Amino acid sequence: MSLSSTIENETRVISVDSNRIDAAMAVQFKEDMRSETAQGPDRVVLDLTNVEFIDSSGLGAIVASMKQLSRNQKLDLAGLTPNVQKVFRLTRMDTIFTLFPTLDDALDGQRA
Amino acid sequence: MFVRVCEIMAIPKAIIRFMPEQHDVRRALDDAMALCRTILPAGQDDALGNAQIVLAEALNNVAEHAFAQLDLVEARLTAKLETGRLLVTIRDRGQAMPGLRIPEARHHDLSGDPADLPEGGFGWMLIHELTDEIRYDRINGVNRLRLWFQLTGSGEGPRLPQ
Repeated sequence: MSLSSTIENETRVISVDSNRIDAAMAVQFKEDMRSETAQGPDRVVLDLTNVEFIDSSGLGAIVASMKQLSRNQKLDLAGLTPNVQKVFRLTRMDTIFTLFPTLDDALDGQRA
Repeated sequence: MFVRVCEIMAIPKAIIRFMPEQHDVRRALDDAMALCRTILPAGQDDALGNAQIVLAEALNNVAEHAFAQLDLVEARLTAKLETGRLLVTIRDRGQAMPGLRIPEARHHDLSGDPADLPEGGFGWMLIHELTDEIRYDRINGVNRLRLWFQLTGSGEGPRLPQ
């Protein structure tokens, strides 16, 4: 398991403990996301602060994690490092997800 | 089963052998990046970041083509500093690229139903966007993919959309 999960401000916060999300772990990541989001708050924030690198398979796994949520749930992303942000920007996936600079920003956004 | 040889010599090169298995691609990428870091001057984090994204996709492609053949993949990777650019060359004996051409970047339509969002097909787009130039040829059954990266402070490089 490469994810850890808590509930803060009625938000499911899932942190990626690995420093990359790549082809080698994409399938496991998607399955772990499914079990972490199977129940609980509607808002899910994926904290990517520790992730230094993501490849196209990893990006696909994050998109798949969003698509497998129930209709009321929403997945936001926080703490994208520069190279991860670059992949989101080039694929225009930054227009699909709401991105927050830090996890704190994501949780403040919830309060606002 | 895993064999890896990484030589960094006067002419920097890495000979990377890996089973067509994804954990080995990860190690191969780490070796490739260690090689690039060795030959690049300081302050080229942007070029290194671009190279990491591109080489991950390129090495995954090499592994995928070998999957079809269930063979040991041997990819030979060399890196070289040119005027204002980094050149990385990957040679392998896997399947040829379809039509002996570099696949074009696929641009997805993301405007529809989220349920229809693509979960793949981003690889070549990332390679095209983050390189300054790409060339592919195949000679005597050997694929040669050459990837050039613009270095910081040397004129126009790939620009990210704002």
